[in-house]
Amino acid sequence: MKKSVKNFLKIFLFGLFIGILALAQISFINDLPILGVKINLVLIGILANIFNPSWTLIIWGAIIGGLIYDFTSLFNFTYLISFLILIILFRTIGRKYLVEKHLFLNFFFGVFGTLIFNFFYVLINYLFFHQNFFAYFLSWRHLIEMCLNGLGVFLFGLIAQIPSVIKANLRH
Amino acid sequence: MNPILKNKILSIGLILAFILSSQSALAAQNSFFAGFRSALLSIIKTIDYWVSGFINYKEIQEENNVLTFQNRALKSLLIEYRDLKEENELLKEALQLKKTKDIDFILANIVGRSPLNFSQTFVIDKGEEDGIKVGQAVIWGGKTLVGEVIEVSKNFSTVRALTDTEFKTAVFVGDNKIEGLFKGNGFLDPYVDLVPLKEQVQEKDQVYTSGLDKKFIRGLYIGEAKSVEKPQDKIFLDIKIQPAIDWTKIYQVLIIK
Repeated sequence: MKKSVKNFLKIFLFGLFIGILALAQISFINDLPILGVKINLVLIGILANIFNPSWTLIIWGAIIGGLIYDFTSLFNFTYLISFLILIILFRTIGRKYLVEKHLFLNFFFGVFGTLIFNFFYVLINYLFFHQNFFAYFLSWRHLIEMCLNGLGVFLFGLIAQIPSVIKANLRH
Repeated sequence: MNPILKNKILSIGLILAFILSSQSALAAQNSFFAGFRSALLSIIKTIDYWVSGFINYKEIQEENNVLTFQNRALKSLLIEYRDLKEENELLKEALQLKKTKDIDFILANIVGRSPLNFSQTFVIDKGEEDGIKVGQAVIWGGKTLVGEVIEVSKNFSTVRALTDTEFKTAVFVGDNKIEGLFKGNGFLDPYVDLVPLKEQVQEKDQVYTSGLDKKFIRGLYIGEAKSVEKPQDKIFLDIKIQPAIDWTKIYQVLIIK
């Protein structure tokens, strides 16, 4: 009973965290492009926790973030679907080939995660909703977005490690 | 002491105190206190400005919106004025003016904007119940085009901004009314296509809807030519446009019914 409450609390807090990131994205981050590019906070938040042992946690985060994005955009649930595809790909294929986790790998998760997410977003929109976003996908701004999101995931990973580093130092 | 005498002494004392204090106050007009007082008042005034600025933030924002609206209205009126000057078009323009006067508008608030770098869309708080339909023109600042309605639900609608890659409309460029096709280009500058190389288009030429595609009414202001290039290997001019309105900075729009 206690364990299930703890799990529920974990999922609830992660959902809240992703929700806050999504709200920040659609409100003020939207007006603050870096080098002409908007970073993707929800993607950063999800990728920083992509190898969390709990599937439910990540799926829940993707649903909340994806839905908030979709409500303020074309409302065709392509953000939600792209997030889910990204999670499934990373957790099935990625986990199989990932031998050891390292802090600096977060940067590459960010870069490749952005590439995969944007690829599926562009593809689904093109195939099913006749929206053509290939110009952005093939532009150098997309490379900047990949780098920025990569840095974001790295920073999130770094921040998440601070408590454990402090604990380790206190023990010594 | 006799109470009557006591009252008399107190009354005289009060009168004297009043006279003395008023005299000293008059003398203080040019003293050190006067400088201190004015410094204090200026500080209070500054604080008052800031606080009232914060409190009346909403009103100031609304006032700013109204002023922007009026500014754009004047620009669009300028186009109409120039059109009216053309003798041959006089009758047609008079008719157009009558038409535009008959237009009904719906005021809507922007409640959401596309979060990432792909689509350039936003959500408004008016929908099917308010008479919104797909394809209606969305304007602001008089007759400045902002976009078109692409999706309608019961109480909300999605609008495609004119900078979106899927946005297209027939336009006139400049005083000579050169026909072209305006296209959004996402995060890059929108452009006018299909203008032959022989046409004389200048920078700062105004671009507005022609109505030839039956999509929007004629005369909706879009912006001005930012750069005009004549590519050697192409048959059309490369005209980049600076939109008159940055849709990411506005909070209300009008929908033409």
